[in-house]
Amino acid sequence: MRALPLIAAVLLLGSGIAQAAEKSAPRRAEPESAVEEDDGGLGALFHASTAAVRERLGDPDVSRAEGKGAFWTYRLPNCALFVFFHESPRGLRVTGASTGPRKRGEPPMTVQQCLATAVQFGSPN
Amino acid sequence: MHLAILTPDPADETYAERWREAYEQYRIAFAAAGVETFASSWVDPWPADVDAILPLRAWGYHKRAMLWAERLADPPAPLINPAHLLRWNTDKTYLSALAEAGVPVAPTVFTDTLDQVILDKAFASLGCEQMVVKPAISAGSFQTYLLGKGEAAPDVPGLLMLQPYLDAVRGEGELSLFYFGGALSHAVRKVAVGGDFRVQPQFGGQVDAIVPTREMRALAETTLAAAPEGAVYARIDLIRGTDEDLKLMEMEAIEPDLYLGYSQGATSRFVRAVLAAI
Repeated sequence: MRALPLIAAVLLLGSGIAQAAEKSAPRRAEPESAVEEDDGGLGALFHASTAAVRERLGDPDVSRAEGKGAFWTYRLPNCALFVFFHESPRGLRVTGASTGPRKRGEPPMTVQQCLATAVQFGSPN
Repeated sequence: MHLAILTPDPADETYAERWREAYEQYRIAFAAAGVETFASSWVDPWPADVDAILPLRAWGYHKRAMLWAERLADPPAPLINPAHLLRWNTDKTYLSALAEAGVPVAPTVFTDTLDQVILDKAFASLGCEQMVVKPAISAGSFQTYLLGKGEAAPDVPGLLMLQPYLDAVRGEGELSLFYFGGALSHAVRKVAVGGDFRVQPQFGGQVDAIVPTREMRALAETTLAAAPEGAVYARIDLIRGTDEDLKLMEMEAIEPDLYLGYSQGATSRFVRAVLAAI
């Protein structure tokens, strides 16, 4: 009988700590729309194979395999394009992309705008 | 105001509990300015209800660079430093871009593969007897090797960077200048000691506060002016080359150790710069 109050105290203490941890932990953002659900401006390249991307954009300037995926970097004339591949039943497929400036002063570009640059200037290789 | 500070993957034992002490220092500093901070692992989904995200302890991003790049694509709040700068700074080929812009950069060769033939050619082109080899996406001397002529090429996958080993790391040292909000805050020098070639304190490097010379400031500020704009914090690492001129080793704008304890007021200057950017 003497053990019950101790156990009760431990349980209460445990729930108090859990509540404090919950209070201090950041709430997670709503699950991001999976990259697969939004073509992110990739158009026809969304879900494309590595071969299809090479055909459209040429060989990447930098390619990096990582786990079951890969990401390629294209240094296009006015932007840098990062293309993400994830493993699928049909092999590596494009799941997303992002862009960045290559140098100071370059305006931010959407993926669509950056891709258009690739088409305008032709294959980088 | 709520600020998320990105922290390592909890499953990565490399960082174990080390990050907590560093995070705590920032938490205290921001709390003094009335800002509540949260530690948020960079591998987890983005935190909600924050006013900005600071990647200062996103240690290990280089081990999962693709996930890091994907995370940067769609943050729910402003990243400080901005996402475009973080992306640019992730891959050390930014050194080539800076060199093209006229910044004196330590001689560097990038290669997709490394075999003995390529290694020997690199020794010849760089004109050195010892070379530092590391991944183009790396941090904290991750997979970093010091090779002498004739030694076997290490088996490191991916894009690599090769730089001549410079004796200055054991003499004058690597000179680090810290800029917050575009203004110089403080500077330190880091010297490799013992048999190691790495300057970081975790490898025994000796760190001292210094007053940067005009030459150091000029190169650091030239670097900042050539980099993508928006750096709220940056560490510019310099080293003296074999020609006795200072060269840029790296510009660190993701999760650099800011050595705030080496200058009175540095912490306050950093906090003010971050808050001014939000």
